[in-house]
Amino acid sequence: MERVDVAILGAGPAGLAAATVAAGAGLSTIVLDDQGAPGGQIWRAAGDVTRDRALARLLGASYGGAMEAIGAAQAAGAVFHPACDLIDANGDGALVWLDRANGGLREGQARALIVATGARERAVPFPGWTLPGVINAGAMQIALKQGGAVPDGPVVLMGQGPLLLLVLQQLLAAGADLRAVLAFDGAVPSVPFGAMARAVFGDPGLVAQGARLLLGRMRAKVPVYRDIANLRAVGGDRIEAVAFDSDRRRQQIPCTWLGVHDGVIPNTQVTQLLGLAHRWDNAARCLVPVCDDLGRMEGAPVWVAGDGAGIGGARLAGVRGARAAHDVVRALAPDRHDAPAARALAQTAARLAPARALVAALWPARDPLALVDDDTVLCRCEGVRVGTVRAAIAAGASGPNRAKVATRCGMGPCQGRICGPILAEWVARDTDTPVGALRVRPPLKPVLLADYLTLEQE
Amino acid sequence: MSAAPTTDVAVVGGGLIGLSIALAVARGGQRVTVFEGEGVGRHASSASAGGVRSLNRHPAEIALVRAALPLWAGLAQDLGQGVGFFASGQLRVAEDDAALAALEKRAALTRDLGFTHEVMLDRAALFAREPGVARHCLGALLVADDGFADPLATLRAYRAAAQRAGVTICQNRPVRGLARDGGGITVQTDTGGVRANAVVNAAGAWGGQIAAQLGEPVPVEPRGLQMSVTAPLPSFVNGVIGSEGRKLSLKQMANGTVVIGGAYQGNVDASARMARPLQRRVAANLATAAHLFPALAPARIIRSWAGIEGWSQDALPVIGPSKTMPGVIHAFGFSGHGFALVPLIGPLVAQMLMGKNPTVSLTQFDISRFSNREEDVNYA
Repeated sequence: MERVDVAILGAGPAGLAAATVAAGAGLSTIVLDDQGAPGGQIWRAAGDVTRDRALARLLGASYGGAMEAIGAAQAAGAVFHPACDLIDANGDGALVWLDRANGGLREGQARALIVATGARERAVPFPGWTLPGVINAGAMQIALKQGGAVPDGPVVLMGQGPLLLLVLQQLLAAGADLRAVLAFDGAVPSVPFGAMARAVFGDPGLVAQGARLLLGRMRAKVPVYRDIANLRAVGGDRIEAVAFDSDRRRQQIPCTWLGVHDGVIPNTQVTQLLGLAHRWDNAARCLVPVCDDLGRMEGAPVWVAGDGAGIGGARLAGVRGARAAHDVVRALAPDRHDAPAARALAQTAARLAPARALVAALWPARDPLALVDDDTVLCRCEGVRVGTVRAAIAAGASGPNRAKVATRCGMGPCQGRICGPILAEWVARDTDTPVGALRVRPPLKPVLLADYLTLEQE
Repeated sequence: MSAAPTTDVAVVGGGLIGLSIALAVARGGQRVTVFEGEGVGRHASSASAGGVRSLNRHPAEIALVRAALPLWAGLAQDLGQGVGFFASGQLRVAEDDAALAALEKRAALTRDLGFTHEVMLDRAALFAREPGVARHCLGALLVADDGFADPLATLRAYRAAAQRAGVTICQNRPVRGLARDGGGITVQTDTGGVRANAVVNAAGAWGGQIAAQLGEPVPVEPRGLQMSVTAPLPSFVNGVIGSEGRKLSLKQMANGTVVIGGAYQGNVDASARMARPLQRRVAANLATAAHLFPALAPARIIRSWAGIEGWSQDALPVIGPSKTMPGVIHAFGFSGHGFALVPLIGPLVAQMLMGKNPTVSLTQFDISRFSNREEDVNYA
């Protein structure tokens, strides 16, 4: 049993900034992360990428500040636990995690918990989306980040949002055989002038980066299709083509990879596991943890920071992580609370917020069921189809957990990570009830029985 | 003011017991309304391990569960859709001499009560039946026609059958009280009262609160029984396995997943109506299972859970008429082993509501056993 003041879940920008502040104030601090090295998704394998010249040229723009943030957390004395999967947590700060490097389950007890588990890509179900070769565009980027793996064979990208535009540029630069982009958005999405002005003023760098990416798509010598309908991934053992209507004409484009991305949503598995309150963000079409400005949740010594508290992007994540940690210091060691630093961070957060609002306005979330038919699998783990869920909702399953019990949708090993948010929104819409969160059960990820045997028994 | 809506029979609680009762009563031609405080089967029913077990039952329950067993075989046909029942047999193995002696004593007790369903297996017979069980086991007590069902499929089937039979199911409608109202009873809810001729208290872990409100308190403790399930494994066990002197219940479902439980209690937050498993107890449970089945070595646990179940003081259910409010019948507090009884409780309670004597005696489950009055009667 490891007893600490602060346990931080996630070593991305938010977690690292939080660790720097908490450990810097003399609080014993551990950071758990499922990856082997700190950095999170945005700064994945930061050390390797910044050392490898070719990779740095390809990916480097996103890695600004990574090594500094990692170094600062380490210098402050935060203890990093790499390759650790959180298995269970409760509102009293008790944690159980799987230590993959050393094997076995470990127990911890923290006085405060900072959940900085970031974002994950929104699931986009459509006929054939379970075929091997259909993957998240983010997963393609992960492959690039971990050793520069470029997808072999013809590639099609589909969806919308800044990450998709970035992956498009990175795949082209890496020499991928990109055949088409199926765009959910317009060529130049329109925005109100006021929103643009505030964003440019607050975070000119981010706005410039966005403009570059949009231009990049226009300049890329890749056909872009819009108004996609009747989409289907076609294939036997894996995807062989993507078929769809565009401009009322049927298209079929052969490919071995279809990279899909429709924006990111907060990863709320941990706060759902903790049984804490979530609310539905109707504009962003996602569940977000209910917390105050500093990330403090109600009913437990739990703070949430970074994209996991609501999508804000990497730069804002660092600020939010630091702010949450300042609030933890104020709660646990009030005499060491650095009020001026906390106030300065509040101003920075206010300055960065409009740019993120602009991103949200440019790429509004779509109806997650826009591309499905009754035969489309919704829950990949349990093989539950859209029609089955539709029937259960019609028969009175008013709430995601009731639909889950009625259909097994969300009951598999992924615990509804993929289908849960869609199910929640859908059930709420069809039954005119508030959107609720699926109950998440431990273990958060499948664990070998043998690993449980390392735990103290009672 | 318009008159309150009416129903013939109101059932408090939309778990499996309540649905079974509602279905049986509706099939008898009565209008039935189920009042469920949350969602259908929210607690014990959906957290159940699905055991259909007459093995090693409390002597008071043996006749009841033996009468329920034949109903399981025909349940899918009766309800019009599958419940995943499989007469796999249930075994309670002995891992040492003391356990073997205890099982032999148990077998003798059951025989003395006039039952023949529990049979001792020696070592060879055990391994012939369950080749996957660890070699240190010395024998087992077997009930060959016991088995298990899929609780969620059972829940779906009962719900659909009840709805087809005309039962009205009101979810998110907790019952706040029962009040005598002329010749009937008013069921009080947040959105108004409903008049009924008769009421069944099938409120599970909360059944004691209803009884207390009627002036006949029964101590019912909410407990959260822990369960875990593995990712699918190649088939290695046929029956449902327990172990004498140890806390274990293990079964492999048709899809290869293994459900492991056995009376380990999780953490119950009664006010939040939530239960969660405790990992050290999951570990103890899994250690017992792995000790008994070497094939579990590569297993992956994909989920653990705990559901709130109502435990009465003597771990036996309360079934029978209220002594303080005529027209109310209790059926709650099944103490973690009500699942097997579900198909029988509905018809029995329906018989009681029609003023008939139930076809299986329920006197041992009468609510009066918790009051001093019972002692007065006994010693009179």
